[in-house]
Amino acid sequence: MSERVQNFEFRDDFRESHYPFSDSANRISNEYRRLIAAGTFVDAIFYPIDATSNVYLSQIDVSAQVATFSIADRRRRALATATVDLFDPQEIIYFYDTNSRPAGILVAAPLTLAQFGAWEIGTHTFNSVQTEFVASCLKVPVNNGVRGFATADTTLFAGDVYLMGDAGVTLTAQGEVITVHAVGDPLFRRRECLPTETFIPPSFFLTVNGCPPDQFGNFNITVGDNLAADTIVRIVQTDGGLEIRAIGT
Amino acid sequence: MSRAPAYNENQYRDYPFITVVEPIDSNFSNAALFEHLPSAAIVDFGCIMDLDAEFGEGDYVYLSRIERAGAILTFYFSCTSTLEQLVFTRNTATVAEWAIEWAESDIIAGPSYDSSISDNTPAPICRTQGAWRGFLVTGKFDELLALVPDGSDITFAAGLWQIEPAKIQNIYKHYVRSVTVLNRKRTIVTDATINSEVVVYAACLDGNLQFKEGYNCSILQDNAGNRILFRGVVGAGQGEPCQEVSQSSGEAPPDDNPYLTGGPRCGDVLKTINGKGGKSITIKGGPGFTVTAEPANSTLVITRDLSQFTRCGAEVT
Repeated sequence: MSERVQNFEFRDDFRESHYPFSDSANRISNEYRRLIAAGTFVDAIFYPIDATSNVYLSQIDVSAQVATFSIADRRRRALATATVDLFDPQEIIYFYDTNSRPAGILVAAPLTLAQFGAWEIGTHTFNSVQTEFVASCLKVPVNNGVRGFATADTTLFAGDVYLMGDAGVTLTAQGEVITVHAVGDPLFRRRECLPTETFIPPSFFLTVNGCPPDQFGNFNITVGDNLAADTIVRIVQTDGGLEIRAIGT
Repeated sequence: MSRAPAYNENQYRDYPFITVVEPIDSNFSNAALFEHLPSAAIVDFGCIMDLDAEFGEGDYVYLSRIERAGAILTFYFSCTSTLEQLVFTRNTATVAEWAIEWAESDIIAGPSYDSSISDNTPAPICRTQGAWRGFLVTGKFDELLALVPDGSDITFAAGLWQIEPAKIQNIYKHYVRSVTVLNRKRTIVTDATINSEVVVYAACLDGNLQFKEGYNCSILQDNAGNRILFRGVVGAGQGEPCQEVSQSSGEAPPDDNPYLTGGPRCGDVLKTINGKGGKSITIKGGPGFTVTAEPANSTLVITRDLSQFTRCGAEVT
């Protein structure tokens, strides 16, 4: 196509430029004065949560096999990291924040990533003026509500979150209000301890010969025709229970 | 040397697609499936992959099809992480150059509940929007119209015309869309199965949600630590409950029973006999009676026994 003679393809166009770093970025590290070669990265997009502005490549940790890239914003706050296998470099470098949420990508020319294997093992830091990305590479997420629920072990729940009452906790909801009740489960111990296959439904004494107890749960056994003056049968209480006896000699 | 404006420049290069070098490209090596796409037709594109797209490493967005019906061109963009597509339509007879259009993918019906919560509980998936949305900027269609006869279409193989990865914003796991309140079913007295099911109290809540202290519950809000601490404290919150708390709005007790647990009322159960209670009651025979226990049969045999009494005349039996 003849038009390509006059118009470079996108990546070719920026390969020799500062892009995606800003025009003033010199891409030289603090410690060893290492230069990130032009064309190493050909494009970028970042959308880390809590980012403000002036996102820059803050650090590169180089080890024998991998390089870990970190980005920060103007508050010098680490936002996300990405790890690259220097022996198997990929075109797209994926950044994640501390909660494993996607935070952006760097598009790299894979072969050029080999340069970091020649860097001194250790940490190479940068200031924002050295490695700031152009503003259009940052998509600041809109702060439009709760981003997630994190448990004590930092597991993050996002998207459609299910809050479940269990083990004696019951949740109710009305409108936008979620009420938490710690009311217990009267039979929780049975559920915890008794295997399902061995469960036998309990059968409580509710009646004797069809007669229920009184309001206090008491059931009376009395002698027959106890109004008769000459009955000799007595049911009396003892320390341990009841005694059925006849009186007389 | 001044440069051409962005859209104009993109008319003469593959952007926003990854450059495809004809006939074989490193990103797409199957030359047999190559289909030409005029550069002037699409000059910019961008998209946001939302929660349901589940966009991850290795996924990409690509132009999958172009349909033509008269002057109407329809562009279909697909993604490897979801079946939902972005669809854009242009009336080439009237549309202006550099026309911008936003679109959202249509929701494809999926499972109505999340089986990870429970196999048989309809924990809902609270989708109200497509998995992704994006914009398309188009330029000139002369070459494309010549390429696509009226009433036909071109289908592009996945991976051929990939969108530049930096044109994609991925907000997977970036926010809480909804909260569904559930409870694990209470243990029922007479139920032979130990319940592991859950019941939904309220589904897909959103807005300004609040947590409220219920029975025996204390909630502490730690603004500095950005934490909410729930504690079970006897008498806290609304105090101790005087009745059972429903686990779902439609929860009903088992048949012939007033309680949700299925348990009997306190007064329904025999707790004492003649006022005697405790772990065990001994019924024994006094003069005139013999009480014999048969533990194997769980039986008490009460026998009249007047042998200790003075006999007058015939033997008393």
